[in-house]
Amino acid sequence: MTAACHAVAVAGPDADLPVVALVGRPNVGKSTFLARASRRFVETANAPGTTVTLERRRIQTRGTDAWLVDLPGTRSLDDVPAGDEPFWRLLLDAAPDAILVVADAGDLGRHLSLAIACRDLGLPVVFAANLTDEAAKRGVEVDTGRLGQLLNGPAHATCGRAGRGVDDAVDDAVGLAAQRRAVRSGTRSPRGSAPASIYPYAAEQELRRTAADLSEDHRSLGAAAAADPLAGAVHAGVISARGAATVRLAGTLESHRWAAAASWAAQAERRSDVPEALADRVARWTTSPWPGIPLFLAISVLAFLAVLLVGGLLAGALGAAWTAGVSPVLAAVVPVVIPVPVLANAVRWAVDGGLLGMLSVGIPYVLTFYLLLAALEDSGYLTSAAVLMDRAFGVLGLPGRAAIPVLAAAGCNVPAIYGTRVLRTRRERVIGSFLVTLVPCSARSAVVIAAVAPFAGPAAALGAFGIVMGVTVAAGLGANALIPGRQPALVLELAPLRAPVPRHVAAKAWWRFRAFVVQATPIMLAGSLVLGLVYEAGWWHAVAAAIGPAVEWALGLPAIAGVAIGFAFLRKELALQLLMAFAAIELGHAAALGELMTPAQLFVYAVVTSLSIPCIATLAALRGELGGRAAAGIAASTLALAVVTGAVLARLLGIA
Amino acid sequence: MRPAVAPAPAPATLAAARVGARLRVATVDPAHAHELAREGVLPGAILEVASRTPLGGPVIVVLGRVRLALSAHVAAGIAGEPVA
Repeated sequence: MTAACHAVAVAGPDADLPVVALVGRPNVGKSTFLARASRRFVETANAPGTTVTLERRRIQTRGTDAWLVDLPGTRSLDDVPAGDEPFWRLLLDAAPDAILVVADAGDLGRHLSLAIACRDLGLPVVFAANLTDEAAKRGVEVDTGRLGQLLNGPAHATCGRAGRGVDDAVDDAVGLAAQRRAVRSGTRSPRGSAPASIYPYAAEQELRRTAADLSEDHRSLGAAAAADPLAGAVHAGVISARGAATVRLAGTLESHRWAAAASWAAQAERRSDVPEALADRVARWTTSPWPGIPLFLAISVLAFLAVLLVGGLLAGALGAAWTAGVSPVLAAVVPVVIPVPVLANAVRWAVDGGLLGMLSVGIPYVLTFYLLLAALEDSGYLTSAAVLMDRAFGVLGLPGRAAIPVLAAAGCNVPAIYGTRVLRTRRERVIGSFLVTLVPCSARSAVVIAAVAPFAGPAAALGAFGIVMGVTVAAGLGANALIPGRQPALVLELAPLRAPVPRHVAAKAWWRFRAFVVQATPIMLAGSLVLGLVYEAGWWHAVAAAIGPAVEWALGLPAIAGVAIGFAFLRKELALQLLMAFAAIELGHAAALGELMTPAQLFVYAVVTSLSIPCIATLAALRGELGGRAAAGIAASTLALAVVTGAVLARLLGIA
Repeated sequence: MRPAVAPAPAPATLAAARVGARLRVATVDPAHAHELAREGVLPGAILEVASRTPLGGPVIVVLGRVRLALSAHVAAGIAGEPVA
């Protein structure tokens, strides 16, 4: 970018474009609003958010280019809606020139306090009373003229879904942002008057003192003011000293804001009596014990079955297509390209086996679950389920929101780990992901059933599941006690129920799915290559010899069982096939499971396989979501749990 | 430190209120006051108990047009006068 760009009015450098921040409480339809607003969208880029990636879209209205920055839904400026940063820091990082507050037209009293807080910052504010369609159904109409007077800024009635009023609101915001940009760069003098204060005398005095301190800070400290982000923002001209003071004193100002909001809402709303909407009635049912709990159980079972059936069906089809179409080609081509047979075979493990693994885990199970989870989130049902399950999951250090991912883990762990994104704190996500990895997925359940039921009977198979479940609950209790911090108290607004918007659901599922493919594919390939080499080069004999005595002593299992458990890291469903393949090589002939191990040994083998280190796709998901250290910690914990449980069982069953 | 005055008759807490009861909030436990203020649960607000979840789970209250779920111990920290 060169300085010459400054002379060109239309395409200035990106940094010089006015910035409009979209701010609103959760569930005000902000994402639909954004989609409508950025219809004229040119490109998207990620703003340098701190821990949260902010969506920044370049838009053009009435010939003015601007950035529209989407911020997470928040209840106040000092709320912590995502990650560890308070909302005002995210907002200041975006350095907006104007704020577009999106609110629920049907409940202004609840939403105006956030608008007042934004106005207090000293930035131009445009107010969008959104969801006018839902408000009309509830008998509420908004007098935007009166609202504009009260707010001392433009107010619009908007409906994001239908696109009504959105462009006008955005145009106003961009216009005000461009004006402020011009004032800040000195090409225009400020216009308009500051709005009258809503605060009583004492609060106003304290505001003035704090503002004076903050501007003193930034004058005396200069660049060092950056150490205090508020003083730094004042220094950088992002907000006024008074604006910064209102952030610092948010705690004492909040009740005055709500009082003003209630009074303004009463002046700007016209209400008529209408019967309760069906969606509201259903929403009430979802959180009452009856029929809420049966409904929750039904939805959980359906979610599990959908992931299992749809995922399984797709996995079978994609797997078959790959084995029929791609595998033979790879089998023919790879040995030609790589003339060393051991290496060629190892590469086939990686490319053929690894990518097949992605196709038969990633795409089918992950995408199915994401679509489902996104639909449940978008409908607002997830918060109802969260409330019902809050008490039960609270024992494990998790909020009720964790119920759906943890239960869905029984289908496949990988999407469930991404599903823990519905949890808010890192602590919750670590505990949630840990429990998810202990829940036997469909592949591990198949191993448990196939290894135990034919030889020790179905009751023993159920017993094995019982043990795995018991260990999972115990691990949750332990993790809750050991991981510092505690479950915060639940104070949650219940989202109204809405029909999910297919485009949102698809978009949300797609973004998460993409993240999975990008993160998991390299790990699948690398892991497959390493295990392929160990297998093809015959190194596994050495591994078996090395770990054999330990496996025999601790678990009472033959050495090859230990190697098979290690290799099942690639894909858990391989645990039995690999065992039989190793056995065939060791014994020189194909052997049935029953010949290799006693029923008691198979029982221990099944439980240890189910609990030990998650499969490589799960590990990739853990690493991508929580970082390498947490992933390694979770993997090591599951291995330790598996070995300890296996050792205790082996002693109880008299095989070690 | 408790103030050295005779305690006033304890107002009903939200945790003790039955389903359907309405309460005008008088005091909020300072430990949760900030979080509750963000949801509009401030002195003077009127809450109606909509339902309770089993095993001492969250209490669901209606505030204006929205429903809020509050942990039982948060509800226990909200006291007020019954409203007809």
